[in-house]
Amino acid sequence: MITNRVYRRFIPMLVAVLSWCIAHLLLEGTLYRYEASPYDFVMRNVSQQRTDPRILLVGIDDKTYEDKLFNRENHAQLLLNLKEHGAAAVFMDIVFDIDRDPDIDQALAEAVTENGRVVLATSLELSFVETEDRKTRVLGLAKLIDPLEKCIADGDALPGLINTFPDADNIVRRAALGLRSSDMPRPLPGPALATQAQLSGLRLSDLEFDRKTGRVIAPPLTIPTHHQDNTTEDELMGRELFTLPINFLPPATGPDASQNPHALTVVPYWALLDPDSPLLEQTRGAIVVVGDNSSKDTDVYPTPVGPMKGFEIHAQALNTVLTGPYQRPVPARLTGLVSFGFYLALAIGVMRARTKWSALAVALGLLGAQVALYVLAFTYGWQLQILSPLFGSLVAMTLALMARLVLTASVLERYVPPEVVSMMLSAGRTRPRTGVATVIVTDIRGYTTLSEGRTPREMLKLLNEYHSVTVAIYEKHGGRALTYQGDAQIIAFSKRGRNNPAANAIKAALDMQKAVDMLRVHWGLISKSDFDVGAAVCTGPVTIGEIGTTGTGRAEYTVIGQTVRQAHKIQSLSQEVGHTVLLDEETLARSTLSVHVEAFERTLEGSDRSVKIYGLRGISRQ
Amino acid sequence: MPSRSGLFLGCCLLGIAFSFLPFLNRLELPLYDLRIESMQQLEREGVPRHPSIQLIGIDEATAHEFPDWGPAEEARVGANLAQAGARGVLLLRGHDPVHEPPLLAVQKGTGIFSQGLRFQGPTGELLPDWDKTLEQANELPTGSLDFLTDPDRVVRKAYLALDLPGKKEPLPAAALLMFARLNEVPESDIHIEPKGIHVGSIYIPTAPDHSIYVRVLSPKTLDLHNMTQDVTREYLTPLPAGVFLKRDSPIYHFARGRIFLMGEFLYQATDQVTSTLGRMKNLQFQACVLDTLMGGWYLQPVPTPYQLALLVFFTLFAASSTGGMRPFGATLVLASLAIGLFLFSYWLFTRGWLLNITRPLVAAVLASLLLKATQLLGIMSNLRKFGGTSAFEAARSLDESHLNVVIEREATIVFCNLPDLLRVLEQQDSPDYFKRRQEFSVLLNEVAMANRGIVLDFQGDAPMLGFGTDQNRSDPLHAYHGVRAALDIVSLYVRLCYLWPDVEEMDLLRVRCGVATGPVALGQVGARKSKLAQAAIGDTTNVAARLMGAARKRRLDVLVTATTQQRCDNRFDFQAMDPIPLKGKAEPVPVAFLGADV
Repeated sequence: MITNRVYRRFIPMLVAVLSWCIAHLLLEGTLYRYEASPYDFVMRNVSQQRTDPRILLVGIDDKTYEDKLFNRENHAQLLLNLKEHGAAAVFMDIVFDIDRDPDIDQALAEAVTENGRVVLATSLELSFVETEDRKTRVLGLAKLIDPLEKCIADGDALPGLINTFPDADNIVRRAALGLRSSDMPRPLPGPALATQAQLSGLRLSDLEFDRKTGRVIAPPLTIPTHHQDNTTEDELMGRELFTLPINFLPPATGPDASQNPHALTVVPYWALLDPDSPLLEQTRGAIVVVGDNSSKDTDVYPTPVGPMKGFEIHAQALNTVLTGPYQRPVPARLTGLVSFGFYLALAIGVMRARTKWSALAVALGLLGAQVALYVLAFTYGWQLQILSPLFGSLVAMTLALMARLVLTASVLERYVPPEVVSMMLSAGRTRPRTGVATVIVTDIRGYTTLSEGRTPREMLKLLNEYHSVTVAIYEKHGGRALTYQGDAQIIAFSKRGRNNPAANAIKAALDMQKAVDMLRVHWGLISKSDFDVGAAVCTGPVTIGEIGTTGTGRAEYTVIGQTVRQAHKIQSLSQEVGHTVLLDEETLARSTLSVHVEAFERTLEGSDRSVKIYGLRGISRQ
Repeated sequence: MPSRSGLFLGCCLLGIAFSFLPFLNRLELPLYDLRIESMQQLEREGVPRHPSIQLIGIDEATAHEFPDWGPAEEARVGANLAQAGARGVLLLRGHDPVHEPPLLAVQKGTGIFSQGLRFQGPTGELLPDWDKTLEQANELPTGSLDFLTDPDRVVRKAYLALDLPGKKEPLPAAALLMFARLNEVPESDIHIEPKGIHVGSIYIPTAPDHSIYVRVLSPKTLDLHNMTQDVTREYLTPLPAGVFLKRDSPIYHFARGRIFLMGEFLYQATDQVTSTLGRMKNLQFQACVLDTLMGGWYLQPVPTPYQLALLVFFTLFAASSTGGMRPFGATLVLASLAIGLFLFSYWLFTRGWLLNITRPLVAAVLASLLLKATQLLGIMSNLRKFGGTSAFEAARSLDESHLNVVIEREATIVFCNLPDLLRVLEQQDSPDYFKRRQEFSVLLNEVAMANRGIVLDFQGDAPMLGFGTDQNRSDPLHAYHGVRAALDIVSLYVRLCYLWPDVEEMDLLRVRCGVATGPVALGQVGARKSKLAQAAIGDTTNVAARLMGAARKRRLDVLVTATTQQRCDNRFDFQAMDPIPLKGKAEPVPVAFLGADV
């Protein structure tokens, strides 16, 4: 009993552990694929991002292309204009990797040097290296035109890696802050970090990339990144990326460009070429990002907030670096622990609720709390998982519900027979059944004497011992104890399969007698008058069913009918005729046993007819 | 309380209704993927690519060898292929046809080129300058390369034709043009209708938007570590375009009668499609579209009436077969039904029928779960009914020791006799007996509950009621409640007269009560493992039973002990009488009564 109690106490814990295993060990990988949906939803609707007003997008738009203004002379002019009007930093999202006119290229390099705050785009490309027998693919950096490579080497400009690294669903959610590789002298920063370095007047060598902690340090900023990601590592052929999730603002470019006040400001490229343009005044102290903003389908990448142009993604990454908060994942252990707490609370809540409404309130409240926690953590820059915890909660609720069903049914089985519990489960209620059955009615003789000198508590203990011993015997012979009336018991034996209920009842009554003798010894009583049990075994039509209430209140599952009543009356004669077990005529007729009986004829109370009753002496062993 | 079948149907209906919630459509997508993946893996050695389709990738190797690769080189490849007897080349435009019209003429000169263009942007809307593009690109046969992106951003369907605003005829897909060419059907014989497309004598059923599901093949080529593997036809591995520039390349021996798809294949995140089997280049995806058409596997949704019938049947079947089961058995049955449904849908899938299995699964699971929840509520109320509050607490608190608790306290026990009518009916074995007995028990229960008591025993000649006998709820006014309940029981006489109007002998309906107050032991009596009952044991119980007998004999309505009278604080007009001797009691017991037959 004690182990049983301990084990039951641990059921909510068991439910929580099982839910945790299902949600986190079995399904986390699968659900992780869909984790992006709630992330994107919160990104679009809930999170309140801050916009750095210094960031200015300079878009090379359709008019610029049509007027053929997109060329290196104009780039140089733009850089000089920006220098003159005091732009804080410039990022050119244009890869200058093909040599054109050497004079123009030189002029561009001079403008870059003159400006002094420029970040130049560079990208990773696959190239082929021929060895003796075959070509192998090599991932390397695009080589910029020589004058610009010299600018970078001299420290007059910084390179910025412009590759985007979309997730498995092709959506860009994070920006590369840096790339580290054994074949490069030092890690290469992404445009956002390089621009930040230009703002703070840092050199490439001032940037620190900590492999152990994943921290990127660009004084005064320390940015936590995810630096180990298997998917990218695989694609990058062993290189390491330091990526930062971008806190996306509504797109200012691309097909979904919005006029949202939080969106970044875009000005057209051509409007800044004239050194006297009034628009240039706006660039004072600004961080300028120059890139393609044509209405065509080029350089557009899907993001959680909608498709946007590549240069805006870099600008948004820069905005995230400048304003924060830096999104970082909550450690898996902590997520697991918190989720486990929720599962446990749900299991306890559902299993211990008194009413359905309190169970429902607890369940909905805890589910809501999980979602609220996710959103709250998100706004503070902590990425929690939500799908597997929510799924785990549903599993925990279902398991708790099922466990409670099983436990409740198991307790109910102590009050009504298990087959009736099954009937309640399948049909929702019980129906009275009428049929022929054998009924034993027993009563303790000398109950009054027995209770004298004993407290009610002791009496209850005594009765429980008596019932436990005798009911086990009836059940062994296929009987069901249906009702106790204080010291009296009513046991029904009904026909099931090939058994003979009358014979079984007789055997049970005899065994019960032996048990009573043993109990008497056990309790230290001597005389039969101190403790004995009279029993009547009658066979006839009975109704077995539920009496009491249809709604709330009390009910009893019992057997009633004339046969039961007759058994009561015959039992009351047992002392008079001097037998402990009496049979009626029907029982004797139906029993296939060879029994030794003594016949009597008596008139029962409330009836005129006399009936034959038989005192049982024993059965012959066959 | 709704009827059982009503409850069953309600749960099933709720499950079915819930399964139509739009967000559940998302669940069907991974199940679709599972079927595609199973097909790729279960079919012997994977589904092979149709041998007539070859891919040419303009990749880094090509760019390395021919830094100025452009339309002129493509035209040379086309000329070589034409000479070798290829049926056609589909050029996936990586560059802008609008700005390079003269080069189209070069390609046209080879006689086998078609071009594929995208008309939709990443959001699925038509690009603003689609008509200009189409107009200027008209010199080569042109088809669309557009596909449908599902809400999870995976591409599973491609358009076989694109409805363009202002155009009468939809624009056929590039893959459809190639399919016609492989089957030697002239383009004029492609008839596009809302329900399907006729390509000569071949009919391809499509959705109303002209889209079809694409049976994608494994895009192993993007796995860079496996690049040096053999180029096998099972996978979508393109040959580097540079190889085709050499006129004497052995590759031309395989060109006869084949279709070539040529497009960008650089290691960049450009022109990519996220398919069921992973990310691939649009070049590969278009090959899959063509392969789907060549394979004749035109996946269509199972017609709605059949889907609905299956949904209803599956839900009802699952709910009814798990209805009466204990949770463990029900879980096993549901799991096997789910596996069976998936296997059935997979069988249909390989035969070109797409069955929505999320809906039946969700509806069945939800209906079963709801039924289990209602069962739990039913079982919980039954437990309160049959076992009382202690049993309920034992189940709720997961602690069976509640069943062992015995409390000794003062309580009031009321015994009443059954109406004599019931004795008569039972004697006659009347079929009415059970019904009337039940009616009487219900009345008794109402009286008990109205007075904060419970019926401890319904069985036998004398039902027993307890006041202040609930282990979990004490009642300081138990004597008052007991006496009031006894009076209520006596007055049941009037209600019984109405309830059973056929009874002529009214005296048969009289009920009389004995009430005793004193210490009793409250607890569960019986065999711990198999049969328990609530009990109030003690001398008080015996006295109450004897008083009931005495009341009957003396034709008194309610006979109470002196203790009861005392506890009631003169709230009732008790009439004094002499102490009466009771069986088992040495001394006569002091009593009082309320009401008597005159």
